[in-house]
Amino acid sequence: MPLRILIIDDHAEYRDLLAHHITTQWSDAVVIHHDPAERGRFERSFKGKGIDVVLLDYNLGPGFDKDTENGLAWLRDFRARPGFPPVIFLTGEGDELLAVQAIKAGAADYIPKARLTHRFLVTAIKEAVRSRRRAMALAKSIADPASFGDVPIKIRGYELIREISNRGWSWVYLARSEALDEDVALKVLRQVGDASDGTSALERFIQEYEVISRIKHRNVVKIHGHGIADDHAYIAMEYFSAGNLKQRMGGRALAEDEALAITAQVAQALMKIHEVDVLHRDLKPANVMLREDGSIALIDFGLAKELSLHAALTDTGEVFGTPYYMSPEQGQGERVDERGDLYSLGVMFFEMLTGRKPFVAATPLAVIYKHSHAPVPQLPESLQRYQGFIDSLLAKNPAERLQSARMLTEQLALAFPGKVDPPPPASPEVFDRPGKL
Amino acid sequence: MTPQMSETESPIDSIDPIVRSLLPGYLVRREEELKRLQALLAEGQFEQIRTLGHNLSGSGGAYGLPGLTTIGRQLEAAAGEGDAGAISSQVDALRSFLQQVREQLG
Repeated sequence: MPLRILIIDDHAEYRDLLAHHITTQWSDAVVIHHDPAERGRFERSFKGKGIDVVLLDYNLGPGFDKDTENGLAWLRDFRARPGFPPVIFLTGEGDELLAVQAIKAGAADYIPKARLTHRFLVTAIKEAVRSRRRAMALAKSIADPASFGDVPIKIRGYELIREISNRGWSWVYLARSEALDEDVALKVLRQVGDASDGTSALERFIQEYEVISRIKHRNVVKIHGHGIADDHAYIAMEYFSAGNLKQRMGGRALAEDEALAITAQVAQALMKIHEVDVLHRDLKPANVMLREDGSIALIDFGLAKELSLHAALTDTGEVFGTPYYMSPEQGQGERVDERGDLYSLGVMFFEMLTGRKPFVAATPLAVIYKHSHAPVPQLPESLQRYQGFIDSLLAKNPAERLQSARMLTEQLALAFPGKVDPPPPASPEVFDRPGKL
Repeated sequence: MTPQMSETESPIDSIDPIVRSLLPGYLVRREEELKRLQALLAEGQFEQIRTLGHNLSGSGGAYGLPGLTTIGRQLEAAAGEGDAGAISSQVDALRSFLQQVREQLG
């Protein structure tokens, strides 16, 4: 069965280049060109049937107001159409934020147009096709897929209490586990019941489960269970009634000891996940959950990648993350490693101490620019004892930062004895190890 | 800043062979575009220049010529500002760059 690939781009020459790469790799591939400026929008009934992958440009060309209708809007629209094939998003140089938005909107991958290479395009298409086939095979194993619709979600064994968040491709509910007789956070992937939908989202969902389930640490969210039931894939996780760090700060500084305690615990979580070769890559206050006893746990590993995979991905300029907490190298689409997570922790530490972010600007891209070029801000006189840590976490050059979460923990313990414990030896830990602070 | 190729550097050599076969046709179209840019500049058609700059920015690197991406980006920015002087400089830079690539191709 030859591959069928739809290219949506108003630039004919670029479509031809993409088609050349595709037919060089797959001589029997069928490439369908769509110039939005010439052929306009797709009918509502268009579901991409028979197409394996869509390559979609951000710019739709003349006739479309880029601010109100662009490739990102089309991507969201496509992903809402059941059974729509995976979309690889194309955009220009310097549009790093779009990568984040596109991936969160459900794009299978992201390619900066000027950095297109044969190898990367072919790899992206192969992975998208493989993902789609895996998801279709998985979905076909679910009983009665036709039952999905706008009916309320039901997961056997869980009583849904209320919706906590909706991220487009997944929902999080507060639910009561009948087996555990306790509240859990139930992360549910939508529309798995449709046999031909949810490819990249399901892949990311499965990846998130696989990543978290390999990490047993008090400062990483605990998983109670996972599975597929009644048309939905789900992960049942620890529920945090005390909310997250963003809510805790509420735009204000925390007490020094609390800021230090939280920083030390995040460092310990990072130490653990880096030991198993995982980067978080989206570290921010909303992903730091609080327990009633003051301990914390990291959540949302939806953008996490294994270190071994990461180099290849970032070589292409792919960028994930949140601009305010994004390291300079991540913002520039360069290779990142565990020191990128440490930079994000440095941003949070500064924010917890002062109640403000170290780098703010009118646009997300300007924030990314400041991470790379603006000097590290100074803490007030009363907080100067933390300035050395801030400087070494927020160094522009990763080589000038503290080199590991373990090193950070060791130095915090040395600087603040009695408040921060030294790290344990590097070895597997059980989940129920007592908190460090 | 105008992208330049050094005497010892030959970017053509490092271009992926899959793309290299398309390069002659691509360069011919850029030569035609150069003339069009000059005409558009004379007419003050900044929006069309901006679009051409944007497309050049996207395609240059993909054809193995990142210098064209730089010129395209600057052309797009200058057109967005309606800065005829800066556009003229980038048109000159484009002409010079294409000349260098032609010489490299032989």
